[in-house]
Amino acid sequence: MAKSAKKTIQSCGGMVQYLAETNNPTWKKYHNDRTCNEAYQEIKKNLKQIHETVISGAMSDSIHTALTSYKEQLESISLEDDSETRTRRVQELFTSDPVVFLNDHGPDHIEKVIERANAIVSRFKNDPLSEFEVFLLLSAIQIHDIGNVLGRAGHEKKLGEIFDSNCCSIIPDVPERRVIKNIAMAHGGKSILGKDTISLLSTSEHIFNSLVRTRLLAAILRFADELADDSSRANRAAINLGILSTDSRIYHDYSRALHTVNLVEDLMNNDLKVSLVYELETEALKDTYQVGGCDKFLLDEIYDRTLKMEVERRYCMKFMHPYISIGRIDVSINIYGKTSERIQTISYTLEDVSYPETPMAGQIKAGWKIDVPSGEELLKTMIKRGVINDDK
Amino acid sequence: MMINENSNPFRITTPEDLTADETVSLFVDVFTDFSQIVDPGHVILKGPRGVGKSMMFRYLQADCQCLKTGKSISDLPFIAIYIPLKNTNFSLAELRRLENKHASTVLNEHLMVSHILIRVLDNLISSNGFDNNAQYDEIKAFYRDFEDILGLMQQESTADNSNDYLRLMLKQVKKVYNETISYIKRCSFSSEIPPYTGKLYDYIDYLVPLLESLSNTVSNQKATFYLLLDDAHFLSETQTRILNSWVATRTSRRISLKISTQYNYKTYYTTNGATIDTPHDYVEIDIATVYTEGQKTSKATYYRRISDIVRKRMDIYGISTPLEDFFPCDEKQEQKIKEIEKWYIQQFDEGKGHGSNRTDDARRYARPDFIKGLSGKSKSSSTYSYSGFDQLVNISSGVVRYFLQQAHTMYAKAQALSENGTVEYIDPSIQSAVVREEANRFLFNELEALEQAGHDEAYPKEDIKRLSNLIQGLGGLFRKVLLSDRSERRVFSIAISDTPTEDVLRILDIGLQLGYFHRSTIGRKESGSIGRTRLYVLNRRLAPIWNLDPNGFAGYLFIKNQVLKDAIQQPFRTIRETAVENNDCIQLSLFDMASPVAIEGADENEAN
Repeated sequence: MAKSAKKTIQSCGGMVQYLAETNNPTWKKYHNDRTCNEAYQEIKKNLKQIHETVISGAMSDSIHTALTSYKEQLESISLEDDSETRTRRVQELFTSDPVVFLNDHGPDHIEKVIERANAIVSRFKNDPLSEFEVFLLLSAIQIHDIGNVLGRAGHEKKLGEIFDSNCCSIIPDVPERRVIKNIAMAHGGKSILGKDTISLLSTSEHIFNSLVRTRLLAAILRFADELADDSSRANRAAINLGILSTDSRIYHDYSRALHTVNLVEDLMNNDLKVSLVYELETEALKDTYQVGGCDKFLLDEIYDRTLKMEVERRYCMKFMHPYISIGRIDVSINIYGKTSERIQTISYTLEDVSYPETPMAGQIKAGWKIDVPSGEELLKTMIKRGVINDDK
Repeated sequence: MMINENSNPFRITTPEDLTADETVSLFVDVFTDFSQIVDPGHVILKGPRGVGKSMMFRYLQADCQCLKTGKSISDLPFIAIYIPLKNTNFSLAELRRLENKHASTVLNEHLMVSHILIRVLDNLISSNGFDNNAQYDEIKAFYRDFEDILGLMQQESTADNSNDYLRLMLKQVKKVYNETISYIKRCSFSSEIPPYTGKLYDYIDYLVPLLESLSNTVSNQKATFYLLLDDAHFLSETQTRILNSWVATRTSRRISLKISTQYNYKTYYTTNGATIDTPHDYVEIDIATVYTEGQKTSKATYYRRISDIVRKRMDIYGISTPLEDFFPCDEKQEQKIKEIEKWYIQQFDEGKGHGSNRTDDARRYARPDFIKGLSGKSKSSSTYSYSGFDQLVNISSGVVRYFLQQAHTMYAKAQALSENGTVEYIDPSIQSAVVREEANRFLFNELEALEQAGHDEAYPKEDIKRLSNLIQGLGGLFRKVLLSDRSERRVFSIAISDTPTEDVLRILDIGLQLGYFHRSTIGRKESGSIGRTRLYVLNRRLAPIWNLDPNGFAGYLFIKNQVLKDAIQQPFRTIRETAVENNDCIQLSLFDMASPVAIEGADENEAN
């Protein structure tokens, strides 16, 4: 009888299917009698309701926060003696729309992140993810946005408690839960190292005798999340009904404009590239959005977001490069007229082609902000300490 | 007669066991030599055993600082907590068995954080800073924060005073700590790894906010917490990486990590594969270097420090005798050496000298000539007397404890011989006998004990044997040089003139870690070179074994790697076969001659 081929993520058609087909019983003893697949399915089930509540939770929190802020500011305004100042401050208070209407952060978004992560991991050149790593990555994807239910600010850090209370019976081991949380939390926000959230994680660790490449998993999630911001994420009904807050509208319109996101082979460069296609109607060029107190066109928002995606690509590749090489981002922005004819295409490629100018020679302190003394500073210190004679 | 151990002024007590009163009265302020220890910022303080690292740490603790400054704990600019890392559960074999099995990094970090919390609370309780219910309301409020941050069950219990609140918290953290230890022990009894369901604390999310909150509570100054982590070389590699990760977080405004270690600090890598760099992340201080580096100022500083320490101890015991009189030198011996010095000065005056001034030759050759004389026909060089305060300071090689240890034995012997138990001075014969005994014990007994050490981290037996050979070989060569007619006969150190091989470096490194050598640097041999090369200095405690002269500045030898290789295998043959000629030259096939500039120059060739 022919020996059956070894199952891979690619041959199974994705990570979820891979878990279902491997279904190794060894893991039952660590997950209260559940295989990795069973444990994952149960986590998904337990979190479903929270996923569905994320948008309303964030909205509710933003309203609550705004009301608290209004109350405090109105108290302060009431103490103003000058009536003109009072009027001006009240007007200023209501210039921005405080209600956060998130684009999709629910089950569909989770599925999209998994789809993008599949595209990444199925193209690994070597050392594919183990069953346990797949389980940890999928679990982390499930929880990465649930902190939003308690409000947008710092949502990366709020997910811990929700995850623990909903999943501790499925994953009783605290270090294992910690790994999942760490991978999920590194998808955004700030750590004590600033935006570099992944470097804080251990390169790898062992959980139940199994090697877990923590930073790699965190980088996959982070980049997959970045690539998951396409048109499926926009709330078309809300856009059409015109019920979006002015500050939230740009996020939905941006998502709606992003038509396709693909990870494709780049034969010329013997690596992979991200291909982004945006589709806009000429009417969309007229609208402006309030961003940070200024008017902004959607096209400019697209430029900024693709640049941010390139930053994320370079950042995440630092942790993924031994296994996969994604060298650039190709961007196409197609602009259509009223009769659906293509009027213009703007295309550009984002990649790291320049000579690395930073830090420039002699600029180590300015370029890297490293706390080392300059030649002059060290000489002065040595003279002060009496180690070197001051010959001048 | 009965000797009361407490009546010995040179008694060595573990700083941990000293009261605040005792510490403040015994401590000699060395912080002018190492100001970074007192300033906020992470520090790695290196040095061999006995240089006074633990004593510095003890003095920085809150109880001593309150006593010294007359301030209350809430007004101190920093609150220093002593955290011993020796004899802790960190070295549990079970914990090491978790490596590459299950959550080794997070469980180790959790244990380290819990241990620190226990020590913080314990220190605050024993510092007496909160007696008389000082800051009762603040401590009570902190108790809520404490439970909140650590995710502990909100206790309904209330306490009548501040210290009782601190005790309640201590009890809770100890419980968490003990539960983790019992989990780790359980792992080693089971073939399966059971899930860990207890608390899991880390530095960033737990220790930093907790100590920040504590600082806001107990300090009017928003004091920085100084965590004085003593003997960090006892940490495993995983634990050292965790500690380095903390150093890399640059939280020194709130928490400054002051880490003491011997030279075998395991790694400078963090848990995420980065390295910590100095001075970017931390300041590194090597105490031995500060006190023994080639500069004259270092030696003078050490001499001053040790004089102050010995003086303080004698004053406490009501002994006002000047140090030089309490540890007198052998008068007859010194008289004879002075006569030789006079002869050299006379030679210089007659135009027959070598040195640049009239005392150079006297200083350089008189004592070696005297020792050489002793080794003549009568073979009585072991009658050379290692006595006198200055000579004892030189022999202690920059390590305070060496001095005190020997002085303690000398005092005890003198006391036993005294009819009424009082000691007015230590006879030179007692001094010399103790110095010789200690040298033998250091080289033979201690190395023998290391050869027999059977623990996980013991050095391989063969390497200890090689080290012993290397020391014997070098000591023998230094002796041979002393007895020669070379222009520089007082030699204590070597530099490798060609490329050192890994096997030789490994043995030298073990010697450094165990304190048989210390390291310095000198200018390269090639003229015009501005680079430096490593100098390995033999510990002067060993001088009596080969009747070497431990005083003053000594020269060094450039030596080929092959000679060291030979010495490691066959030390006595190496000594025998290495010819030392009368013309300042050691056989070139084995040694490179020290460069003329280095040998003849006044200070350039004078290292250590």
